[in-house]
Amino acid sequence: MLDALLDNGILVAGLTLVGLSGAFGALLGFAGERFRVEGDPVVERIDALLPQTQCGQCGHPGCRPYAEAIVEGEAINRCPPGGEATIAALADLLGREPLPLDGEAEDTPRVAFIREDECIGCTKCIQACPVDAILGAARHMHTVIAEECTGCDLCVEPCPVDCIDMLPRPAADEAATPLPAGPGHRPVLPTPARDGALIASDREARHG
Amino acid sequence: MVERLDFPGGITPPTRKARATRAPLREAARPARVVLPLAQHAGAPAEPCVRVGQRVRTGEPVARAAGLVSAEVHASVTGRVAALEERPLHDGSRGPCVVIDAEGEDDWWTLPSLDWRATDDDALLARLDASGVVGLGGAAFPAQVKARIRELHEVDTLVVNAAECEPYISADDLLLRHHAAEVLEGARMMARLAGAARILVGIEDDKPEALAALEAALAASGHDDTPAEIRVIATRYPSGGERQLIKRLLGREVPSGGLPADVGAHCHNPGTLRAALAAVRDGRPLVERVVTLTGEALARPGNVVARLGTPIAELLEDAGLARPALHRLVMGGPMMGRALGELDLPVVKATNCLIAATREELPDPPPEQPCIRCGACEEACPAGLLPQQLYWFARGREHDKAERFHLFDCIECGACDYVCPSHIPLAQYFRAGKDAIRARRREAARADHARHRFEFRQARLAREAAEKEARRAARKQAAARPRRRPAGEAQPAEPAADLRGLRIAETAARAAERKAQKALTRAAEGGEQDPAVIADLETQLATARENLQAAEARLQAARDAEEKTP
Repeated sequence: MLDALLDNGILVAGLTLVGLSGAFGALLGFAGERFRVEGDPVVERIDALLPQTQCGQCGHPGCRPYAEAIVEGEAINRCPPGGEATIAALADLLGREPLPLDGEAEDTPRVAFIREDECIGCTKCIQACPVDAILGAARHMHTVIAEECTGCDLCVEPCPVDCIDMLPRPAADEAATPLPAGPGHRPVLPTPARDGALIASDREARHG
Repeated sequence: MVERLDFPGGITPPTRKARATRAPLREAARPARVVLPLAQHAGAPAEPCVRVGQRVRTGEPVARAAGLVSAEVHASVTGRVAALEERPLHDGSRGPCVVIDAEGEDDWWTLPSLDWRATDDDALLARLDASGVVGLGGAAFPAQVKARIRELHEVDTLVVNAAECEPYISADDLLLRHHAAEVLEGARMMARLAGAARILVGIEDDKPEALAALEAALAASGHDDTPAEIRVIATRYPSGGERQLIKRLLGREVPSGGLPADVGAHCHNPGTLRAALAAVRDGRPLVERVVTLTGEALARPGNVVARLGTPIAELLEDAGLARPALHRLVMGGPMMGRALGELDLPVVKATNCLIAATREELPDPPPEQPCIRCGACEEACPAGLLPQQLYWFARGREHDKAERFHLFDCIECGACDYVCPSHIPLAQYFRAGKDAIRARRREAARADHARHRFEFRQARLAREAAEKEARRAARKQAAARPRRRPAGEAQPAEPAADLRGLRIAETAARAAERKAQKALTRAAEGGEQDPAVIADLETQLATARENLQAAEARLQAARDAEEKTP
């Protein structure tokens, strides 16, 4: 029996392959059950690329719902706060064509500011804020925690007395080094004695 | 062997140190007015603790450290606080400063004198903290934070970084010639704090006088002291970079993204060691430092001990500044220093050198030419990076790739700029790239934090809804019970299955809460420096708690419903 089997090489090869595929199939099936990933990792990765302003400008109640909608087939160009950079990153992740932004891009990050002497204390903006960045109580003045504000605009609409302004966010504390201008340009270094003037402050005094 | 004990690359530019080292160290004239920026160290700016018009004595604190990485600022003259105002700083921005008008002689405010050999570590660290001692080599990192290295790392060697490899600078050289014994004593103290068993002094061979003074001081010291050894190394830039010096002295390579302490070494500048000793032995906070005044535009170059906050213009005038000849003013060395746009700036803790250069001496950089991929920068790079590759990534804003090519291991020494035949300001490209990456990380952290706060709000709303639902169900039950009993209606069987699901949800919520709690504890115990990270973890913990409460409320409501229906 064994001899007959060994003589028939093609049969041995076939049986070996069948055995191997069975073993690996079982292994993969076990691993699939054992290491099952909870939730949809693609949603997580899309969510991580979105700017998390929770502004709802995409038509979804927050960034995560939009991430879920993108997985379902929603267009990737609905996020104005993210702008072109977010679209490019999403296109890269999902292998879709980058589309032009639907809506107007925001050039600078902003924060909400409540003109506090006009605030009547209605708490409507507090209820609208998606990140709990507005502080206050009924019939008491409200104020925005600028650090936590994402600049989503959602508090502007509900305010009955229009006392909320969107102001540009103060720049980060560290001044960023500018990228040099590139070949053909001379790097500019501050010089206290340029143009034969004595020092910078003297020059100002002379002109002023 | 020699190969193994050395860092790759490096350059040997003309040192130009002779002019400033001819004259002995002298005291600068006491200024009539000092300006003390609150952000003159690495980390968070200090918070002022004086009022305008208040009289302060020399050495009295005028601003307290704010946060874990920060340093105190002390009055460097006796006088009245004239103003607390925004003033121009060395990087071209403006920042808060304490301005003091000096009056008469110094009236010292000192802390009690301590003998470091008889004082425990905590008291020494507290003293360093209260004295505002920071690294005087140029980085100005708070010394007490650095001294706490023992809590996290095993250190065997304290390295005294007396290499002073950058051209022009001779502040450490002159300090060692005059105060070598104090530097060694300070090194022993810091070695004990760091838990190091030996001291290694690394000094370049172009400083024979300082070397002689060190050897004399070493010979005079007692036998029971921490063993110290002086190693003379050939002059080559940038052997004063701490990673490069450690490689050269110990043959150990600091890992990418790591600290010298990861390889058991701990590096200090001689000026820092002397200031630390003065803070402990004499109780004198850091109010002065050695500054090299040099450059062709000065008639009397030399090294002076200047009070912090002294106007740069005053120091340079005293050294015979020829204003028409002054073309460029550099704070620090010509390789890594910063060109200053005006003279109306104070000496700060990081001011080790001021170069008043003429046009011939430090000419304007020629226009940048296209990169020809010659690879000269790669041969010069002391960190073993590929500068030309990083240059393309920085120009193309390909930050991911730049990070993968270890942009953050660049020490910005400028050796690549120096050798580049196309005069490309490579180090500036790298600085810009690093800043862009840091800004992006900050934004990403902000977005994450906003997401966590959004999740927290969602969880809170869900919890409130669940509690409301539970109350409503309870009320309904209470109202329905008397009516139901006589009717004897059969209850639907579904709550049992529901209960099981809710119990699982509650357990999962409890586990998530424990996990969030653990993450927060770990971060707090692991010495997390960034308060934003802690705040974010707290938000996540609060979210988990809200979820848990919501799950509990739902479970309780279901249980109540279960009990009341037989």
